[in-house]
Amino acid sequence: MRVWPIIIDSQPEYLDGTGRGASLLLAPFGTSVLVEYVASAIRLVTENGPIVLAPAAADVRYSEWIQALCPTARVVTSYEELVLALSTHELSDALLFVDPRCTPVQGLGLRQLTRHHTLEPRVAHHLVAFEQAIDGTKECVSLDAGGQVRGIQRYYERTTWPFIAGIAATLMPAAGNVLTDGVLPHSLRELRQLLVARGVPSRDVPMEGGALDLTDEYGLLAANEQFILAATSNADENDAARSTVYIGAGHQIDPSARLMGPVILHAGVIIDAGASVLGPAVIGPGATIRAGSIVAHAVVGSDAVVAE
Amino acid sequence: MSPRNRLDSTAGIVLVGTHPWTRTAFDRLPPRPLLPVAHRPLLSYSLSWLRDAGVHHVGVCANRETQALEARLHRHVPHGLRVTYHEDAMPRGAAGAVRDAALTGDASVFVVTDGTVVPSVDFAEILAAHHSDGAALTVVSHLEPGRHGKPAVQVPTGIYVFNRDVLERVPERGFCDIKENLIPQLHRAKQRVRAFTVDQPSPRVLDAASYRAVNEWMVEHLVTTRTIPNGYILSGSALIHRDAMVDRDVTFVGPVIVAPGAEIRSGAVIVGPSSIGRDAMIGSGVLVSRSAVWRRCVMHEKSVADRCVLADGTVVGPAHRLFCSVVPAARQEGVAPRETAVPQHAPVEILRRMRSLVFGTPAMSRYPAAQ
Repeated sequence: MRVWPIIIDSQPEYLDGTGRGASLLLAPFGTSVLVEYVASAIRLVTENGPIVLAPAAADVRYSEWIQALCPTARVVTSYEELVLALSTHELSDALLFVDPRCTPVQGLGLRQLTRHHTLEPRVAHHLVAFEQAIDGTKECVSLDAGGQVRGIQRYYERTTWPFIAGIAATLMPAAGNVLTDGVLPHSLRELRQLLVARGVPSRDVPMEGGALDLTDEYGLLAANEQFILAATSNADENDAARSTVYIGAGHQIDPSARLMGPVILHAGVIIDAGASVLGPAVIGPGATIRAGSIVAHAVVGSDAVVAE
Repeated sequence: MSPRNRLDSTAGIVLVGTHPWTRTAFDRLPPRPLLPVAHRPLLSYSLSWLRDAGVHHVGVCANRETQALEARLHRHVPHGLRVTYHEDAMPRGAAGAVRDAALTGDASVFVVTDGTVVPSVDFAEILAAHHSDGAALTVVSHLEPGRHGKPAVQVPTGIYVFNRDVLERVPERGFCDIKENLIPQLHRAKQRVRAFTVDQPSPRVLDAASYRAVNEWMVEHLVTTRTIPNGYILSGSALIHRDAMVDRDVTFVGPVIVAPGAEIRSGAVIVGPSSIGRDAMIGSGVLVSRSAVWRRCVMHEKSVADRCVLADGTVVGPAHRLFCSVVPAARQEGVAPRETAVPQHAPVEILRRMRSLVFGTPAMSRYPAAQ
């Protein structure tokens, strides 16, 4: 069995920039860029390079940017290109769809999926994340047909929790033939519905620990914060400068700029005189923080300019 | 009945009986209703909400430490509000506690709220809906929108309206809960139990994350609505008490509240929403962000606290870094020998360096937990 990975890229509303700033996969993700993070998780389960479904209206240089970070990736922009890219697959192969809009807190557990698929190769498996509970419970008002309150239903995270945050990945038999009617699924929810409609049996594989919803900026920030703290957790407490992590080369940091708290600076970052970066913060590749600016607890996208 | 008469026959009841279910640092803090939110006990917001609506009498039902509660709350009781305290000696449950408190007075309608909630709903609307629906009990809920194709759900806010006769169904002794016992019982008896749905949730403290979120929400609310507590001045986005001492080159980013007696030294940066408690000392070059620093805390130079709750008397050593931590009272984190020399400070003056700002987001700190 061979596994053919397919990564679905998107442009959430909050990524309203242009160029690299218009792609979720090209967003800074701790010490890496999201596409690198996803690709490294995929490499644990297959040696095949990923096919990347570009977001609508991707920049003409999109393919170049993706391949600079993930040289084995092949970018497709249409249904026809995807079918062509998968033309060498056999019915015994499996397609692995990954949508980073739902990113598990504890890492992409793709091995779980391949284990399940090995046991049940005819079944599609979906890696689903539960919503995280606040204090372990959630209450909902239960109404009867007349609109009267019948009771208040209390759900407990460990036992009676039906709330799913999203689907992080789907591993399905290529024999499921979901890509034969000209429909290109734009999300794994759509793919799951497509599978149900075609009568392909599906099974959800739940993940513990919740997921980060990267369709909103809060999720992207929370994810980055998690990586920042992990990357700087070994810094010497008496050497605050070491809580700044430099990725790659080409940084230009003015001596009068102030970096406080854990900060990750990607390659080519420029920080001008008197600017302050207050961590946790990630400054993406090629970003510029102009003189006098203050950046606090933020993710600054690739090539972005924070102007005075 | 006119709205005025309705109010005269309405009393408030605040339920503050909380139990520490876990052994987390958060549960080693004072009981939730007493946690400081923008320098006021959480419970005091319920009292103000009831008083502002015209309620004159409120019963506070506690299950332990009633005297301590009364002592701490005393100076936060709004003028014109009579508060009586009811100690639940045995586990009575929420409905049992409401009954015991309600029957000591003669009101005919009771607005009941959980002491861990900051009510942000329109009291008059709720009461009017309760009467016009002819409800025996009204459950105030908010609509949590469904995401990713999931249906919306109604989530209770912790606020109820009871008619007095409903309490006849609550036994004199033993445990009786509102949600698990009383509501199903009323429904079976075909009594009208209505849901009054509001758009916005009322912030509620359930755990450390939601406590921080509620504190942040309130600090931001005070600053954005320019609600300036007595003795404070609003400078930029910081509410600073006149008796606080802040060096000239301290930087405030986003909404911050600084209590009397607090001292913030040269080069410190305070990123809001944050609160700095009474007599706290923030050393030079310190970074405090999205945190609740309580009374008498000391943060030595170049230390960092982000998304933390530092309880009364916490000492953070020089260059020590704390993230997402709850530090229970009088704990010392990474402490080196204390300074002995105390430099002189300028009077309150704020320099807010915000020529251009990318301010992080609620996201990293303002959790849905607050709702």
